[in-house]
Amino acid sequence: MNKTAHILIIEPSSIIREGLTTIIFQKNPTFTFVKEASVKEVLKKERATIFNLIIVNPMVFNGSKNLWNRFFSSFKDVNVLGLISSFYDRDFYNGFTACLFLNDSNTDILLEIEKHLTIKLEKKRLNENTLSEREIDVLRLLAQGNSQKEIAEGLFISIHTVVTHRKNISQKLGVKSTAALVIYAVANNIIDINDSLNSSL
Amino acid sequence: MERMNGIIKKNMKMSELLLSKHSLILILERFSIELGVKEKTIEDVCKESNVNTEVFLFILNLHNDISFLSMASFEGLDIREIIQYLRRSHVYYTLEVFPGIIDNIHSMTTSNQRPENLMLERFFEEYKMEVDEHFSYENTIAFPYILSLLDVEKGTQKKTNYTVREYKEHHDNLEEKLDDLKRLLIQYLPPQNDSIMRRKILISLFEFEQDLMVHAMIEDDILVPLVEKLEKKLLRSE
Repeated sequence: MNKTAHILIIEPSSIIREGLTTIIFQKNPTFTFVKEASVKEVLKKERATIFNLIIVNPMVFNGSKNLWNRFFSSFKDVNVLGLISSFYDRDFYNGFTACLFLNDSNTDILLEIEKHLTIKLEKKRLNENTLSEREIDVLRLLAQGNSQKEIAEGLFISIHTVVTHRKNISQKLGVKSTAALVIYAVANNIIDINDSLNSSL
Repeated sequence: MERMNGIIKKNMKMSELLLSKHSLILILERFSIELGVKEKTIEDVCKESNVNTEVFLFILNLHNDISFLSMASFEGLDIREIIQYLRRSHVYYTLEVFPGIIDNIHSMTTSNQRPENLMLERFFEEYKMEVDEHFSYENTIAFPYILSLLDVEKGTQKKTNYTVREYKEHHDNLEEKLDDLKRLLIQYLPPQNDSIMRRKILISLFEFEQDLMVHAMIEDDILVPLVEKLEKKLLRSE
């Protein structure tokens, strides 16, 4: 595999965490990783990050459906693999796309991972948070109160493209709600306050 | 954040507990327990203040470390007491947390009338409205329903068509705006000589977020399962 991917691993045991990372990294030196021991930390820091795959030990949810739901709704478009080292409630198995078991061979592990990497790999460098010119155009029109359809027409692009730009803007800035994006636009002189007066917040 | 190691037990001294983890003082307030606890154990204090010791200890432990949820069983916990605790928390958020933040945002805006500050104020007000709506739903629909179930159990009330499943599915996305607010204050609103105000607002937001997380856990992972069990039991006995 010579493409790049950004993978999130949530596992309390540092032995398992580091071991898994090494196995994957040795075959895929272009992959990048975020490694955490708890879901709380991930929800604090990485909610707006785009990952190509998530591997998580179900133990970190402590049986909390609340935490489980919050986690899955934050990472809707990614495949999540369970990292299983003991027996759990059936419910928790069913939520995962597939499972990795501690006694799986390296080959099996790598196969499962390759199988479930989301295909739409982000071209953007994930550390970059400067908006591209096009993204600024979209943000400006959005902050002025235009609908996605109006933005598409104004820039002669498809609605699909507008949606993608909107997602990327949110991901780069770490800001999700439209109202907050408008504030960002005003504070950074992307639009004039008078322009935004008509926008529905 | 300081964390106490180990599980909090009823024979521990209340004063020692609070001295090692001060954030738990707030929990006492929600159970109407007054400070000035001398050498009393947690159990003593609960008995004297007429507080359900099991519920108190469970919530205390949950606030101390959320992984307590997987360590102990919440079966048999008094539903009425849990709802009372949740109601008291709502009051705290509504009467203390939010007005405090609004005051500080207002100070920010007064000293610096830039348009983005005014928008920030409106943004927070909208967030507050969403939160108020959520609390209102619980206070006027979900909680009364649950309490009525307890009366059905006693045989003093007839059943309604509402089930706790509606409450369970009544999900909000309250965290999104909270996250955005933090980002705006920390990253995207350019410096304008208001760092002290920002610090006050941010600390309140982070504390509120932490508190709300445990609050939501009590609702989703303790209250709802307990009520579901009760509903099943009542269905069987029909």
